[in-house]
Amino acid sequence: MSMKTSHATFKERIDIQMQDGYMRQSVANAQERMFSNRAKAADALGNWEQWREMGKEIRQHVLENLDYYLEQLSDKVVENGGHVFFARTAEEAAGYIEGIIKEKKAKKIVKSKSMVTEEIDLNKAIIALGCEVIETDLGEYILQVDDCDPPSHIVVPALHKNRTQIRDIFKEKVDYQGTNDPEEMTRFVRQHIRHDFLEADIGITGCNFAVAETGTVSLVTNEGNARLATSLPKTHIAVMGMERLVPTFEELDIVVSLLCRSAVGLPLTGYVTALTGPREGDQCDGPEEFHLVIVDNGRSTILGSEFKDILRCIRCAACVNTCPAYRHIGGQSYGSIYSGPVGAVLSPLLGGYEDFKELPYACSLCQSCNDVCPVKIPLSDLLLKHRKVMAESKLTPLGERAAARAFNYVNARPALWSKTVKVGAKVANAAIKDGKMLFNAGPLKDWTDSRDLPQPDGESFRSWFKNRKQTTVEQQKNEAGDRHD
Amino acid sequence: MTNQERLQHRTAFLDNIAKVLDRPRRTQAPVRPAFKYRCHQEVMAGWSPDQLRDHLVDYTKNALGAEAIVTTKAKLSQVLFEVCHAYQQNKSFNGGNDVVLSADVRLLADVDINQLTQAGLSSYVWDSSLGYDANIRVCERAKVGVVFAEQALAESGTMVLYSQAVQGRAISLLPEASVFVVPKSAIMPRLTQATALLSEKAKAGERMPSCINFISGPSSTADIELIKVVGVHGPIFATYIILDDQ
Repeated sequence: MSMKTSHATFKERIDIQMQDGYMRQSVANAQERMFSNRAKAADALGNWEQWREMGKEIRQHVLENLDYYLEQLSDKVVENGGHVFFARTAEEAAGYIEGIIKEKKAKKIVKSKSMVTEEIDLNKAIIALGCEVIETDLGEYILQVDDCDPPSHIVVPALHKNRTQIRDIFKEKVDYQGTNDPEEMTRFVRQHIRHDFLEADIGITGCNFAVAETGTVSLVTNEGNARLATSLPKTHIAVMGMERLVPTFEELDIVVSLLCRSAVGLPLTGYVTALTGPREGDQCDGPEEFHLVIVDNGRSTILGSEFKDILRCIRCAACVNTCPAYRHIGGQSYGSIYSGPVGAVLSPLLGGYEDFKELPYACSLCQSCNDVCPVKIPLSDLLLKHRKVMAESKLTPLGERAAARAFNYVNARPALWSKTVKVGAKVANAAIKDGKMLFNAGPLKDWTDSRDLPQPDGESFRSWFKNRKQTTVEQQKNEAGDRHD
Repeated sequence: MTNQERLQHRTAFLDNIAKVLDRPRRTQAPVRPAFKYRCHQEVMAGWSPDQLRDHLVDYTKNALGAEAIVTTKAKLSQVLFEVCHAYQQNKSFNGGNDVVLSADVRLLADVDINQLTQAGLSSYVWDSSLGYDANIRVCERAKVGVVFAEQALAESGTMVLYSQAVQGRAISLLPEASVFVVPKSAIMPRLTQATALLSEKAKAGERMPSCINFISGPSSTADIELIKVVGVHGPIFATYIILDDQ
């Protein structure tokens, strides 16, 4: 799956998703739970604002000195006996990994959850080589078995499916005979793919944070699949976005603490695994070969732009879990592997405005995402910036631009403005019947379609307000008089 | 292969980063800004070893769905037998009844292997000289894996393991149940203290162990309807044995 997960238009995607009653209810419940878990975990730790400030400064420092820290990291990985490949593009990254697969004559690959490997469309490249690839994270496994259904959440990818749907998928695709009990289904998957870990030639993982000073790759997980994928196969390939690192283990403490509490509301997840190079010579399990693939794929362009703050992101999904737009349209509506506020900022940057131009509008600018972000990314400001960039480069719909131009023209001329609002009030009175416009203007169509409009009384807001002001002042005078009596 | 051959396409990649940052390549170590706050140091600061132990035990039992037992060095063998024997009574997922033990002397010095080889239990001590296949074959079917933890973290109910020749990764990964033995003196407030130790190692020029694990309870997931299920790909059960007199 590449960045783009759908060929339908944004509106078509939303229309499909809005029909899915289960999805909408489940997303609403899940958001509530994840939001309150995060809030509780932040409160329990105390001094949350100080933690956030530290997280922001650490990530900021790394971005400002990214070339140095990547050089240090790669020197250290090589010193420890590993390989490092710097990939400017998704194709280069996938190409390097294809080379390893061919060299090893690999037949089977186990993967643990990694967004960046989705971004570079790695599974497609692996399958094209005639190699089997198994997504081993339970959520990712469900989606893979379901003909590669796109993820709807960056932490809980199969959030949009209920247990019965999952039972049916397992029954049809992997001959599961049990009930829809989550524990029974989980145990089934454990048994069903255990042999894959033992047989796999290569394990592929992402990287939550690398540690530059030691050449370490850390993975923050719960299920144990990432540990299996990095302990049993002879070769481990870790793929990381180039910005995902910290200088030393001291900073790792802060960012991992922020990530676990923000993502799942726990002090730490079940496994935080810090992997340094291939295994030492005297050990007998762990990979013999370690490859680190560092991916740019558009990130350097972001680093040099007004959107660079988004590169601080630690992928916790706290912004997703608080976003009212996400709550209503669900993750798959975004049509990108990255959903929610972070997805709406990142997808147009990594995948281009052409495919993702609508996403910055999936936002009410409520700023709730800014408040929960553990590294203080001004997400809603960045969404607004996207809109500005698109408006300036004329990427917004023609009707919208024409309307905005007309508004600006009239708004700059007080006499014309005054006349227009008076006329407008009269026209509106005639044009709205039973809460619906008699005709629908292009840019307003979606809005007017989905809302009942009030019946206007033919008066403009300004004249109404002027009258109301007088009435209110008189009323207040009267009331004051009453009290003195 | 030389170090240079194992490093590909770096120069152009990093030059480009310097270019977008609008400055020359940074080749000198930048000054890491000191942390503005000390909130991470203040968590459980000044707690006594007993307070840390009590928090670790409570958190493990209440939040992680794992067991925690406080005992002494002298009683370790007996407690270990009881724990393994109880796990043996569970429904089997892996199929075997073996107990696999780390060969770490800090563990073996206090464990009587004969005591673990009775009542239907059989035991195996990790031996890296036998190679990957021999060790993995036992772990794959084993009921219990017993390891010695470098540190324990009170805040998160975490056991810290370093991979070593005597204690492979698979012991705490493939068997159905994990048993961790840790001295009370190794219980620390949180991740902060454990990463500080690793930072010191790094500053002293030591190579990090190839695999460091911070393990909090058995494996788990919430991928189906956000319902927590304990026991996924990693161990299904976990017990922490804290040596109170160590």
